[in-house]
Amino acid sequence: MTRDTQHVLLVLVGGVLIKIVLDGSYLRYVRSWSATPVLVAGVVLVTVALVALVRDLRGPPPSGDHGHDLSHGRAGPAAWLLVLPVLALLLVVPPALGSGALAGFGARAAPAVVTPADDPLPPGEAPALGLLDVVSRTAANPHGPVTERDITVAGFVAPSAATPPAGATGLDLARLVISCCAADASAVRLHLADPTGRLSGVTPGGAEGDRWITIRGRIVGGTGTAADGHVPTLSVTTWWPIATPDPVYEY
Amino acid sequence: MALCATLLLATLLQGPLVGLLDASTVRTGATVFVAICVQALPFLVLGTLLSGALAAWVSPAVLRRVLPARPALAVPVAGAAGLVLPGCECASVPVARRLIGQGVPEAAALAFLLAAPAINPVVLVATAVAFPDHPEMVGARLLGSAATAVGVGWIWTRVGRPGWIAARARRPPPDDGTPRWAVFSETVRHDVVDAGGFLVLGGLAAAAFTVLVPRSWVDGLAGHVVLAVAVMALLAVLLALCSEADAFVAASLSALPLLPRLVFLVVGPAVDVKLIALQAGTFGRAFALRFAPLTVVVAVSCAVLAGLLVFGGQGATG
Repeated sequence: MTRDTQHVLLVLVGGVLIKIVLDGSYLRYVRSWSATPVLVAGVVLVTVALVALVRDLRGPPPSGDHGHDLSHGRAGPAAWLLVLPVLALLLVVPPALGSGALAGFGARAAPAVVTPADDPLPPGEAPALGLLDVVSRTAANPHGPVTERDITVAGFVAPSAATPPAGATGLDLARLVISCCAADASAVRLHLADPTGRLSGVTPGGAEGDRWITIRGRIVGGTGTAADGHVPTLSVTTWWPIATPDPVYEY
Repeated sequence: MALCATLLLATLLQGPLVGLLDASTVRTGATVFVAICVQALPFLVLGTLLSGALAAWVSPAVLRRVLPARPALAVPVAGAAGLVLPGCECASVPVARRLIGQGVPEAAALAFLLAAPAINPVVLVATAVAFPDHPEMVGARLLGSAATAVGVGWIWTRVGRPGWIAARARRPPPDDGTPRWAVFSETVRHDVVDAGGFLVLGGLAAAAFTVLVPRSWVDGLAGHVVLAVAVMALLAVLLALCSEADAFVAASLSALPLLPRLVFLVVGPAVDVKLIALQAGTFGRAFALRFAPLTVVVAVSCAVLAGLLVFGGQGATG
């Protein structure tokens, strides 16, 4: 790859990094704290490429150019692979992970690490809790405060991976959790129990996208232990559809 | 020219490309691939910034004064320096390469390469957060990773041959009156171009394994600790998770005993498909072919020893 091509390629790589931060699509791939590093990296790449471009234009490339092969700073063919993320981010912009990621190794369950079990719930009627928060609370204490009041939880509808416990519908409310980037995504789930028939007709989303809903209900006491793989059962009182949240992941 | 043609062709093929992404596995893989690139590029750039600063402003003489003259002593000192660089493995590869370029003994630079991503404060805190019920995991990880870095470094002082590392990795920065800021900028630019393509290659491999390796690989391993150690070491290499994130994945595999999960945490930051690609690109293929197997063997041994020491027999049974 010639020196000039390298400059153009670096401007492109840096440019797409800046672009995905500015238009917010970086949240499909990494956590929000990555905005600054990604932006800075993009600016650095564009800057060093422009500096090299200007210096090349003003004079011949420095003869003692370190580390290069003798042939005027050419880079090996592997450098072409940098085109791939550029193309992916310019043309395709892969969507955030959804139910499709529940199949592979990404089907691993997220560990329950965040909240001490006996933290009081937020005030108000049916406080909104994160799905990971609910799973963490029941993992630490399956009869804790989270089972004593109604809560509201958002997630997408997915078929249960394991055999659902007695009383559950075979549908789960699921959410993906990432700790660094989408490559380490793991799933948290709630089994849905439906004693009043509110969920009839609710199915997982199809090819057009996942089906996101918010559910108000109550966690069945004694569920969410190691015995059921830390998947608590949520007894549904009511539910309503929501737009895909942004960011789509929990952290 | 070729770049223009590639871009034009891809634009024309945009429709079919998007169509291909309808397949759920391909779509997940594409997202994971882009995620790995977006996550890793800033760390690679951080590494090249440090590398550029080393090339421009830190003379070989200064490094010689800081490091003990005997390689056997320089190895643990360089490994300890890894404690202060909170970077992913992607950041430490260009830095280690520049250290070698500035005349630091190879073995010491390699000890730094292995220590920096594994035992920095960010990684240790993440491990403590991920294993609230097993705080001893932090000490075991520190012990296993430090032993791996120093062990590989010492072995390299005995068996390493200068010819294994490509000559291009050793060329010193120019000393021809080029302004220092220009040396800095050019080193950053050059190191990103050199390593970036290989980072993408490693990201492709890791994304493929992430969507293709089935969950059943780790189911049913609980009773077979030797097999579990082998599988977890292999998974650490194939999945190429960032060292800041791998503790959470290891914690989630709660059906497994602690020992195989510790192996996962010690092997991952030391050697994985993304790192092997980066090292092959930076130090040459002859180096990567020898360094990767050596690191796997040493890392697994150190992790098992550290695990037995810290967890006792309980680590093998759960």
